[in-house]
Amino acid sequence: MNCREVQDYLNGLRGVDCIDDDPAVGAHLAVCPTCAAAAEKTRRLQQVLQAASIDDPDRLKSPAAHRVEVAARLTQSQAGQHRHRRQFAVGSVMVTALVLIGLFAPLRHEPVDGYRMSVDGVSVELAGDHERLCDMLFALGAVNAGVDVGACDTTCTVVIFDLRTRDEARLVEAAIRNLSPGDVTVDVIPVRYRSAES
Amino acid sequence: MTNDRGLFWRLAEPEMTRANLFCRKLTGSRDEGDDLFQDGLVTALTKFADLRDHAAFRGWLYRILINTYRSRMRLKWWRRLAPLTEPMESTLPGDDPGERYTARRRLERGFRVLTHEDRTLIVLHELEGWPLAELAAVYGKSEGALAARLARARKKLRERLDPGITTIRKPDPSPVEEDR
Repeated sequence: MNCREVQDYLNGLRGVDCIDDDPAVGAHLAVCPTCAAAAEKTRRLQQVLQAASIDDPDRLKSPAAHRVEVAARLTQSQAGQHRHRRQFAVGSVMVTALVLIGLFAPLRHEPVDGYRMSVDGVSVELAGDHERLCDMLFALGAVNAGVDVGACDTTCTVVIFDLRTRDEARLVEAAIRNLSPGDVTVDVIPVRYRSAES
Repeated sequence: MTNDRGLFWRLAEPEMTRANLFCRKLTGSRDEGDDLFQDGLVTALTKFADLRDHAAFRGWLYRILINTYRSRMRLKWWRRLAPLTEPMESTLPGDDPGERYTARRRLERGFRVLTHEDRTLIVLHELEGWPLAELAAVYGKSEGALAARLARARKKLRERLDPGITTIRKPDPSPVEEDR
C-alpha cells in the first residue's frame, strides 16, 4: 500500500472501525512516520466520536409529554399565524391609506404661500405685517402719483410677501384701488414662495 | 384531520426518543435540542397530509428535523456569537466529566470547521450509526457521494481536534427518564 491509499483508508474510517484491522495498513504505518502520525490523529478522532456518541438521556421527555407540548405549540403557532395575518392586513391598509394621502393630498390643497400683485406695471415689493403693508401701500400711492408710468418700459410687478390668506390679499387689493382710483388694473395671482425670507 | 394526527403519533412514537437524542447531539445543547425536536414535530404534523408513503416516515421525519435545524442556523446565526442556552457538555450529569464532556467539547470545537450539512451527516452517521444506504435515501444522493463527503468532513475534523485524548470509558447506559 502506498501513502495515498493509506490516507484514503484513514479518511474513510468510521468512529467504530479499527485501524489495525487491515494488516497491509499496519505494515505501511510501521515504516511510514507521516502516515503513522495521520493514523494517530484518526485514532483520536475515533475516540472523540465514540465518546460523543454516548446518549444524554437526562430529562428526556416521554412521547406523551412531547405530544402535549407539540399540540400546545401548534395551537400557539396557528394563533400566531392568525395574529400575523391580521396585523399584516391592518398594516397593509394603513400603508395604502398613507400612500393615497401622500399622492392626493397635495392636489387637494391650493399650493399658495402668498399672492403676487401686478398694479399697472409698477414694481414695488411689499413685506411685513398688515399694518406695515398699509404704510408701504400709502407710500406706493405717493410714488404712483409722481411716476411717469409710460417712462417705465420694463416689466413691473408688485410682489407682496407674507400675505398668506386671500382675505389679506383682497384687503391689499382694495387698498391699492383706493390709492389709485380710476382705470388702474390690479391682478392678484396666487404663488408659492420657497420661504417668506427668500 | 384527527385520524391523520392519530396516525402521525402512532408512526412517530417509536422514533421519538432517538430523534430527540439526535437533535441534542446536533445542536450540542440539551435545551436547544429539545426545542429543535419539538419545532420539527410541529412542522411534521402540519405537513403530514403531504406524506404519501407512510413506510418512509422515519426518513421523512429526519429530513424535516434536518431542514428545521438548517433554517435555525441560517436565521439565528447570532446565537453562535452569543449562545442563549447552556452547552450540553457543561450540563451533562455523570461520573466521567473528564472524558465524555471533554469529547463533546472537542467535537463542538471541531464542528466549527464543518458546514451544517457536514455536521448533520457526521452526527447521523458517526454518532447515531445510520448506514450510508439510509442516509442516501434521506439526502437523495448516492452512497458514493456521501462517503466522499464524510471522508472530507472527517479529514477536516481530524485536523481540527486537539491532541491529548487518551482513553475513554463508556459509562453504564442509564434508563430514559419519564417526564413528570
